[in-house]
Amino acid sequence: MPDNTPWEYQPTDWRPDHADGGPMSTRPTSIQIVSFPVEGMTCASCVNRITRFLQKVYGVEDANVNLATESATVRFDPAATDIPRLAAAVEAAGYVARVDHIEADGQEAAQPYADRYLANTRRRFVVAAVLTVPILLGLARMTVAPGLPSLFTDPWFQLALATPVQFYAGWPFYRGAARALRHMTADMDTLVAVGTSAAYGYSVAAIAFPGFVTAAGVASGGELPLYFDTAAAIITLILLGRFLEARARGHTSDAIRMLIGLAPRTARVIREGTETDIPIDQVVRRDLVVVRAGERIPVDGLVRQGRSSVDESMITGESMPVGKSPGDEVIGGTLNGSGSFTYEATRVGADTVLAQIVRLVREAQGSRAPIQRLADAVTGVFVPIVLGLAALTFVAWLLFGPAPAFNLALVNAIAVLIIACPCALGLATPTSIIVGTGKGAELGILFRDAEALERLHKVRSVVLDKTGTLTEGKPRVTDVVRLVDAPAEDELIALVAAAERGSEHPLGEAIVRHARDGRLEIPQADSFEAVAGQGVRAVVDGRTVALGRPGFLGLADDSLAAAAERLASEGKTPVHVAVDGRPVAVIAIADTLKSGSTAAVADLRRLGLDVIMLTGDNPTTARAIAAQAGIDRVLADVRPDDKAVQVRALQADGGLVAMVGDGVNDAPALASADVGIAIGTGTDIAIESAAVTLMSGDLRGLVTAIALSRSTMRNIKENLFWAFAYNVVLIPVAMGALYPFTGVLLDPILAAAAMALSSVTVVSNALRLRRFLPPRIVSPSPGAVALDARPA
Amino acid sequence: MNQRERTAIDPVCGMTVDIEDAVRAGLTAEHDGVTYYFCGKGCKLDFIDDTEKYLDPGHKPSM
Repeated sequence: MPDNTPWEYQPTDWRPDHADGGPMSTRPTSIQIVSFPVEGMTCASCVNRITRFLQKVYGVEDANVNLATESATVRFDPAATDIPRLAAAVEAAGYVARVDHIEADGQEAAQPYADRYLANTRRRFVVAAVLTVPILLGLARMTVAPGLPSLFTDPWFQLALATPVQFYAGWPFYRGAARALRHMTADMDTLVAVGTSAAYGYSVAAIAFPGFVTAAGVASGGELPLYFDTAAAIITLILLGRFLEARARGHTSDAIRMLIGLAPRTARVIREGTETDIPIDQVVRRDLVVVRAGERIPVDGLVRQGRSSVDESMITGESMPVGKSPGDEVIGGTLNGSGSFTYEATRVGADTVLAQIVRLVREAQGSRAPIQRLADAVTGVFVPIVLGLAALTFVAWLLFGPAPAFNLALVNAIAVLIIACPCALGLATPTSIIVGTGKGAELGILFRDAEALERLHKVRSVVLDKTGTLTEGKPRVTDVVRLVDAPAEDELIALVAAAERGSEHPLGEAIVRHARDGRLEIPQADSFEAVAGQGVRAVVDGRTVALGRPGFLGLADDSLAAAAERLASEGKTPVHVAVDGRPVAVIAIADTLKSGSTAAVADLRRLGLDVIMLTGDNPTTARAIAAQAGIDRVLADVRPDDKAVQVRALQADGGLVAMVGDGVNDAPALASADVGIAIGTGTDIAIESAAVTLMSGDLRGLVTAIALSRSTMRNIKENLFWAFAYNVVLIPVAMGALYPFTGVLLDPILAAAAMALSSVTVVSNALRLRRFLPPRIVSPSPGAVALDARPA
Repeated sequence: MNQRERTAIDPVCGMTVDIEDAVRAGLTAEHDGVTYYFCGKGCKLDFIDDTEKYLDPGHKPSM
């Protein structure tokens, strides 16, 4: 028989060696993390250089430098180095470290930056929108509402409005285009800057040199062709898209704050013989800490006196509270049951398990790479092509066009640039995302940001936490195996529940719950005796009832022993019952799979994903549950701080990894995964660290989430197509393709029509996403195509 | 007067640098009679620390 069979009970607790109650791996010294702004970075080389210089400092474990947030995050051993030395390293590299702006929370260094960006974008958008409306009224006057005052089509009026839009609201596009240019690439900023500048510049030139333009014959009916509306509308709409995206970005520091909130503010220590309450950061190692019933344990330590049962689920995720007696470790942040005890502090402050988890979450959140936006990729190819076409147009008209050749050539080349910038481009992605996330919320799936929605569709492997995710997280009575001449089941349960009534032991609670669920009357026990680690004996209605380990009960029964072994191999905990001195039954208690888990696993595999179970539980129980769920890859015995490491190992194998979890112990792993998914019935911290939350707690929600993600990505691609379609169709017109036949060249009306049509089409298409239906999930049966798995 | 080159390539990171800006910010370095221009202090210092490496024709600018 393998050594860790479930009924090898620990001497101090008759709960079998199921759950992860072991101590955390301890680090020899404390590690600090610090973040500070760094000035002077211009390119990725600078990032490399600073990172190199920081990593060379003795005592630095890791340095992470971010160009976008202009900050550095360093993990170091405060015994070996200090902040002034880190600052000196940055300076030696040639930059300035603003260590007067130290952020203890690495994420908060980035948060103000994100807030500033959001505020800026909103301000620019509002200014642009307000100024653009009157310009558009000019367009209306030219087309549908000629009754409007002529002020709106006055060129100087339009110029006055368009100028701030172009250069104040539109400034970020110039900045972005300049940066892209320095790197010899083109992105959406380039396209917008080029397109709107062409429109604006052309309009200004038309006012300044009307003769030039009319000579080219583009002044229809004597009206100057002005494209201020095009330029302004493009800028306004793209800013709107950016604002919507920025607003939807998730908050990252809430998870950290919540984690920190798990530890109480004060601790009761015995100093000089008296108990006093002190702030938690004044607790030192070897302090004797007193914990009463229902209180939170302040710091890590070793029990010295007293006993109790502690709920460690918020840290370890394991549902069964752990019995503690002298010599046992306790973890800061966990919740004490109804006993009280005194313990000696072993790890305080930054060394505690909780602090380590906080660190891991911070790091994971800070180091994730941004995904390449599809729109930028498309534009990167599109812009050079457009520039080429404009150049071609210019040359062709110059060489082959009628007089005045130069005028026509210039006017038409610029027209190509003007029409090539799709104003709906900025809306293509955000609109789909907004509708997609809204739909998700309707279906009980919360996406924290657009990135989550966009990444989910590319996920290749899914890692599932066991307790609370795959399983209910609550031990329940699963089997009652009775001998033939034993009392009837209801009677038996009632007797056993009577013996366990008031027990704070999770197995006892499970039995009592089972009795209550069966609406059984639980009699009052006349006497009661609990022997720690062995079992419970009581006298109920004149009969002795005993439950616990086989040895505790005295006599054994072979068939019951066999039953117990079978149950254990199914991953359950068998509890032996004897009435009036005779063994009568074995009750099995287990954490059962959630009802949707097996179907969800089957569907995930059918979608082509690898499914892996990750748990702190022992391999025997883990494999039993995995087999039930249909999972064949199991990583068991994983300590909470190792979960993130395991996730990263899977990422190294290639492909995006999604992780589903529910406990605080899962938070670092959730943050490391490419897509972290929290089960809604889990801890708040898991929810805050995760990119996606399944509100219902049902794993089948994950299948829906993936299907939704795929649909949304398809919708985004459709939108991008439509955003470009109308404009691309008009490019040949701008180039002059229709000129030889009809004399038609680009004019503001055509440009405006393209703008309006593409915007309306994109928004309508995005709204189509509202009709998404969750895939129908049918229990697996061979050969049946159960899932409407729409391809990506 | 001939149009002089307005930009140069930073030999360390490969970025295109405006020469006037670089000169104004002091982000230049001379080696073997040739003046090089840089995008930032870091690249300039990198270059000075390890000139041969960045002038090696096989060197790929790290971007």
